[in-house]
Amino acid sequence: MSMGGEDEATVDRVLEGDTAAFAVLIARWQGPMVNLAYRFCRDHARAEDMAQEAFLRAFRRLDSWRRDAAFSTWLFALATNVYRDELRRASPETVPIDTEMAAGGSVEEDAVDTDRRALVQRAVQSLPPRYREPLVLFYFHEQDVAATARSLGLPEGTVKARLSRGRDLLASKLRNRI
Amino acid sequence: MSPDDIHRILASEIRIAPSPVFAASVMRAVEQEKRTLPSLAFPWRHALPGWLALLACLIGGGVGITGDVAWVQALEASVTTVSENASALQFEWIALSVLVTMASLLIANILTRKPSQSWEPAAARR
Repeated sequence: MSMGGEDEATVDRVLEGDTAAFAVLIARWQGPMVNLAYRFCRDHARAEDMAQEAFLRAFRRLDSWRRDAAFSTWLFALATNVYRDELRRASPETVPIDTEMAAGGSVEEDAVDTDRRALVQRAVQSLPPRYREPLVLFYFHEQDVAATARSLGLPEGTVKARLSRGRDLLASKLRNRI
Repeated sequence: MSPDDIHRILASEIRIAPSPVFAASVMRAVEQEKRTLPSLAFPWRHALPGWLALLACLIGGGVGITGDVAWVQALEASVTTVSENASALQFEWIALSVLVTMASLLIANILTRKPSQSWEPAAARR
């Protein structure tokens, strides 16, 4: 049985009242769900809390999954909404990129690759949500624009435009770094 | 830093592993959620055809009855007979027994009602 077929059979069992079967879905999707949350918040413990909230919401709304899309597509779209709401609730203010970058340390301190990585991640976090979310999901979905668009519930053209603008913003702010 | 550097770094994102207790923690939350789910709502939408059919029958029956004088007179005679029989059977005692039964059911229902579930934060469950 394919993974999609396995998901569908497991969802059917949960909907028929077998709550324990939900553990199979958790075991299968906990890695991607926690990783997606981590890309939004950059905090392991918080990512697990957010992923737990997303799984709970998925459990509540399991009957709203229309079988025309893969279960993972539905799950990631739902999770994206949960993570977006959580971040909006916790940090309504977006830190200006220049302010955020100033906290990153000097050029010398950021010379090693791990520092470059941290610098880029901080820059992504400092982007406005409309550009940050497509970028995060685009790389999470291994650079698949269609999957990113489905997760965000946006047309592919809009996602492409926001990706382009997000990359431009990142490049302009990181150009003189390292 | 060039756009290629940025792309390379974003494309080679480090993956984290959920903690060993994560799945169990989520399942505990799910089980608690299951216990506190509200009872199923009455399916009004699915019952709508039945309600419409009942309404049509009542309207049709009402129109038919009021148009037939002989039937109305027969109904009045039946009601009179039933009320006379009820008086002969000491109807008030039957009504009292029904009331006592309803009261006992109500009290039993109140006494066996479960206390409401309380929520604990996610961090506390872990």
